[in-house]
Amino acid sequence: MAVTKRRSPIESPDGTKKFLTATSVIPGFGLSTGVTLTMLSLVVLIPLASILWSSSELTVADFFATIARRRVLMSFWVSIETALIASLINMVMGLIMAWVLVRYEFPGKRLLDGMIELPFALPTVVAGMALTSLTANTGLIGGALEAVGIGAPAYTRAGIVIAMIFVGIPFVARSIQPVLEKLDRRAEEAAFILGASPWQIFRRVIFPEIRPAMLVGFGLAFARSLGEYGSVVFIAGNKPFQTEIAPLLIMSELQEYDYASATAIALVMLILAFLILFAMNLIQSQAAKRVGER
Amino acid sequence: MYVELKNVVKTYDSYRAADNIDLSIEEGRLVALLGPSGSGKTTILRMIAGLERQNSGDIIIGGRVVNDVPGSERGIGFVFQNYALFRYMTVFDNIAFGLEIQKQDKQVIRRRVEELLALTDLTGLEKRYPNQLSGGQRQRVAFARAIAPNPRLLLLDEPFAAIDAKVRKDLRAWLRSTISSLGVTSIFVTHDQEEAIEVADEIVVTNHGRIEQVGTPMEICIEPKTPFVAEFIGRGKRVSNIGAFRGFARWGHMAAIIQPEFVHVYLPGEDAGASGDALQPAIVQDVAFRGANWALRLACCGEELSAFRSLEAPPVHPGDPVRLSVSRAQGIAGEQTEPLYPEGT
Repeated sequence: MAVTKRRSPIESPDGTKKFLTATSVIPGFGLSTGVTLTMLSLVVLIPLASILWSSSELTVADFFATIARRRVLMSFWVSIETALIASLINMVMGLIMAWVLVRYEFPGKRLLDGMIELPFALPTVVAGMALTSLTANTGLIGGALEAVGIGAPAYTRAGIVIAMIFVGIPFVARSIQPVLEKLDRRAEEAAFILGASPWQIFRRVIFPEIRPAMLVGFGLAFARSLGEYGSVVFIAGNKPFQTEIAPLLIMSELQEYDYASATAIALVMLILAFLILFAMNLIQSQAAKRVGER
Repeated sequence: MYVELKNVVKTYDSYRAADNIDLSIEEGRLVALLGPSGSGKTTILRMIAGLERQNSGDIIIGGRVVNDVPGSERGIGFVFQNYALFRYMTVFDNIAFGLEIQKQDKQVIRRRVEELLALTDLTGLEKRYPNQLSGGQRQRVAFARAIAPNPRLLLLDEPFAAIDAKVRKDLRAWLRSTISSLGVTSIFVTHDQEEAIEVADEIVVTNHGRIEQVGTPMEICIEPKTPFVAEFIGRGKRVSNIGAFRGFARWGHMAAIIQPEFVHVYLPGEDAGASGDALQPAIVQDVAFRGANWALRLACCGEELSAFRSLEAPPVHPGDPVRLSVSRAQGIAGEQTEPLYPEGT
């Protein structure tokens, strides 16, 4: 691929033209930026703005009245609680998966590596149906758990957590994997020669390196779980105050033509999503600063 | 003998990285393992450190067979190529790491780290992170970290490879004097002949997983025992027929290596002193300025030779006819070499 050098004239205060040169494999800074901004606007910014626009039809009092309803508050709580539990489990499991895929050689490794993305590719409704039939009291796992007295997870919050683990796991595994691959093994050897035990090597040398990636993976999985709808609706049972998640409540408000309530709930979800993304960016930039990668 | 390797073999699949290595190193010496890349020198170092396990043979450190002793209990310090510092720890914490693992008293650790900061000229930088340091500073942190727990044996893997040339010179001199003042037995790996000659008390030349020669820098330079050492250490040229050079006729068609130090070049009319009648004609092929002298490439008797010429002597130019004498060569007899001197001298 040809590398093009492009010059873009920039007016400096004294009126002379200065030329900035940038080396890029994609020609046309103007064109490619335009495409980027257009796509971002069409796909992300305009739909989000429309939520804000619709919610502006609500008065502030209406907004708070809507979200302060016990059913709404409970749905937020169910969403946050289950997403939090699922993402914490994912953080640990994703770390183990990434570790196994990076540090060990075994037959079928590439296949397993590819399968991590399955939750991305599979329609979430299909996953929801499969998980429900598996964890209901008639299913393989649900039946077994029922028999030992724990109870089938389907149609409980445990079921929601299971669905959220399914959709969230790739985020954590895929965030940690490249960091583990890049890790300097000699730092571990240095710690080993200085007498560190395997646990000390992990805690003091490896963990600080992968902590930012773990937190980012956690944040992504949490954001995804919070917004997950397709796979959860089947397994949750959707009992108000118990297993009704916020996205589902938006859906049912819409079905009742209560657009105002739906947008109010959606707005809260939007704010939550922005907060998570902001926190993750903060974590990443802090970590990058520490090791001088920026 | 502080470190001994006996019949040590290490293979990776079918490749023999260490092929029956026998080596002994005296206490308190600074030894260089010198060889081209893939010659097995790093493998030897890593086996001594316990980072690799030999397939057979014994490794003895301080009179104790350490084959089954983990690297952390061999009483060694290791300085890695590219330093391998802990990126998320400050300079202080990096140096203190080994002492903290030993659960030493906080005050003891602080005093020891401060002592090492002073020794490595890093005082005032203890709160920095590795990425805020220069290459030379990182190297010294790695060194301080390795010697903090007072190892009896210090191993260094290409300690100067990642440092730019100017700093490298200073660091070599610093490392040599620091190690000798500490008196710790040290082994370092390098592929740079000059570095080995300048820094080490003793050089171990490795090639293809074998040891070619062990000796002081002077012995290695002046009396290379094998054709490989002669060619690798010096800038010598291999000639196929030493008999063609004046004074060497009785060795006939023997192959030999001629070091530039032993080729003397004279312009026509220049006083050649005692070797006057041993001169033979040659043509200058190429002249390169090397700072301290000129390096010449010469054609003589259908062979190519290299030589040095003092900056004070009259300059020569490519194409000039000159006369030369050879005062010494290393004749190649199979796997060994023998020094050859011209007759009549």
